[in-house]
Amino acid sequence: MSSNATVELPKVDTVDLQPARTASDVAISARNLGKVYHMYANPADRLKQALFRWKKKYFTEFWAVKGVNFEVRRGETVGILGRNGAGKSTLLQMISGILAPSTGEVRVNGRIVPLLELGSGFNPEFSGRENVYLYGAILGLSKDEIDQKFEAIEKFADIGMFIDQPLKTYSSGMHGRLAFSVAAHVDPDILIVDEILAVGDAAFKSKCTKLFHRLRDSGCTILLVAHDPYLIKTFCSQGLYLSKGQQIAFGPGDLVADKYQKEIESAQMADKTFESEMPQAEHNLTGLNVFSIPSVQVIGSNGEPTDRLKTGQNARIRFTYKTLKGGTDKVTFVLSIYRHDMLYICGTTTLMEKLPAFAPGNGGEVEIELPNLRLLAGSYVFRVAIDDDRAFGIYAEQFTKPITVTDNMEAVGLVHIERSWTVKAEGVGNT
Amino acid sequence: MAELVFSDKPQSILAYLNPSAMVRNLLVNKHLAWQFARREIEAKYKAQRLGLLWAVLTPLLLLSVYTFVFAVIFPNKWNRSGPPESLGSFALSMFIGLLVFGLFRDMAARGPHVIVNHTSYVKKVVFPLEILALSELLIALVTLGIGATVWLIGWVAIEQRAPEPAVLLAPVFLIPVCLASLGISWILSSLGVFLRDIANVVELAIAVLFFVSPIFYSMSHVPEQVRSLLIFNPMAPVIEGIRSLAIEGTIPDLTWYFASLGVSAMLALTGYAFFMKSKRAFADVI
Repeated sequence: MSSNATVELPKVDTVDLQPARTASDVAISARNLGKVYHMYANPADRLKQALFRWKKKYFTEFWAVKGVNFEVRRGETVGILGRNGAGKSTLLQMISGILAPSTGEVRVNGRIVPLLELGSGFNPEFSGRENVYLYGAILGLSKDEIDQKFEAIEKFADIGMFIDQPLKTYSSGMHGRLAFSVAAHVDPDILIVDEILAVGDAAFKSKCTKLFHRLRDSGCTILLVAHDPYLIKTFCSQGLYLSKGQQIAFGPGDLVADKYQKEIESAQMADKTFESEMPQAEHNLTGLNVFSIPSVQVIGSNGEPTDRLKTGQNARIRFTYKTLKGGTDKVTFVLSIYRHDMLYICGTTTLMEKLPAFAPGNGGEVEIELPNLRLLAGSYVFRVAIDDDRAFGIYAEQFTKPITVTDNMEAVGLVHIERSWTVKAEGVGNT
Repeated sequence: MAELVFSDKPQSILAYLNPSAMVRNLLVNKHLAWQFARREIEAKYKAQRLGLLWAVLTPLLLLSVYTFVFAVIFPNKWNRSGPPESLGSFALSMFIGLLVFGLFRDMAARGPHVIVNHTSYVKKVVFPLEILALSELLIALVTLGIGATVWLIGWVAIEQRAPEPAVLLAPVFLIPVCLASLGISWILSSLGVFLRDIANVVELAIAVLFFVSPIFYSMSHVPEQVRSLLIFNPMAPVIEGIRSLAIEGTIPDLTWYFASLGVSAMLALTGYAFFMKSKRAFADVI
């Protein structure tokens, strides 16, 4: 854990994130690495600073990366996580030797191949073939070496006859495939990938993942930026989590990914975009003020209110309501489930359950059983509402706090569906 | 493999003022420089209908205009004391000046844009940016080579005899201009990153230099008192020297040549060191 973290994080159970490591076999080591930019209010200030630098500071400092310390051993795979502007690209540029650090230093052992942006090192006027040779030369390969690898590069990039067409005619997917293919085939000791895979389609991504595994198995150290915590959990031995330029965590990939995911979710919760993104099937009648729902709780299997659930657990949603002046004869009740980002997962009403409309009385309590919770790990919000007798207009509604669900990786995604497997392999044992 | 250290402590500029280190660094990357030059040349001519023909047409057209102006409108003769020469001979003398100056002009005019036009090599890949100036030089030399071929054909056509054997020494005499142009290109390409206005200044400077170089006149026309100042223009002795090789067939006074070689070698080394020192900040500014 970084000692100078200033960002407030949701409390999570942290394990020792920094296992003991030996000094040998270090591929990358960063010590107090930082990058500061001077921001000028206007160009005149920049000139004044250059001319009278001893008089005063005309700029404000912006630390893109500050005080980053980590060590990566040969063959390790490091996933770098962080929101936009966290300093991921700046950090990778410093490790690659493209940007000079403002503080500290980074030591790199081995041939380092940075793959930072689509089309870097490529000339749009030349054909794919020519660009392969040019890019190969930039990465330090001789013509003979590229000759030998050309076939493999072409095959992996899979751009067919376009290889002899000017690069400007390529789609961005083809472009990315070619760049990635060259970089992956120059036998890097250290491969640095900055979100470049985002351009590929699913087939190419799976090809890349295979290649990543092959490179990793052959001892290549890989640093990659990924927004998908699942990729980090399954592929990366280490995770580095940056926020606003500061190192929040460095350690085992799955722990760091969890930590990251929680920050993302709480940040999304903070954006109060609920109302606007609500599915508007129902007609809003809350202005009538005939009911109110003062509280809604999630009850865990031990009978206590909670904000944490486990997949497979029995849970209940409980809320009370009050009837205000007037009220109405009949009402129905509603339960909806959203992911933290207001993705609508499931919604139901007492009407859908074929229950007749209820007489509300002066107030009361409603409880909904959720046996064997099917939601998978993530953060969710439950919504309850009181609707009119046709479940068409909303009289009152209320949301729970974000509920964190954890699972044991029996499945990934949103919902744990029931299933059974049958595998019939043909020809096994005959060959 | 050697360990690379990227740290917050920049190297001193003095560390780069080492001629052998400079030459070694450029030689290591010579293939890359040539690849760049070749592709640039191909791109330049591929995209145009007349292709390579432009490299021949442009100097020929300019040459006819200049000859018309300086030999017909302002009657002028190359050698004050000698007999008046034909228009053709006048043009041949002037062409040499234009070719040599053209090399320098290409390098200087493109200098401020060299790095700015290759931002992806600054920001996205690890690239020996210093070789871009070298490949600019190679490109300019190819243009010069085409022009020189035109010159040789012109010589045979106008003078009706084989070129002087001494013309073979002309490439040696070009070395100072190449070195000076490299140095200028390094300095300008680095300045171009930080001060975008530099291109305008360069344009002006090229125009001035065009007239203080012995292109339309020979050094013998220049008053004695000012002539020694021209040592600071490495092109002057080079243009004069190549003229004496190619037109008179005699080897000129080598004192001027070596003085010019010294000045331009210093310029190249200083330019290189300046570039290497400032290179560190390119990615911050671009």
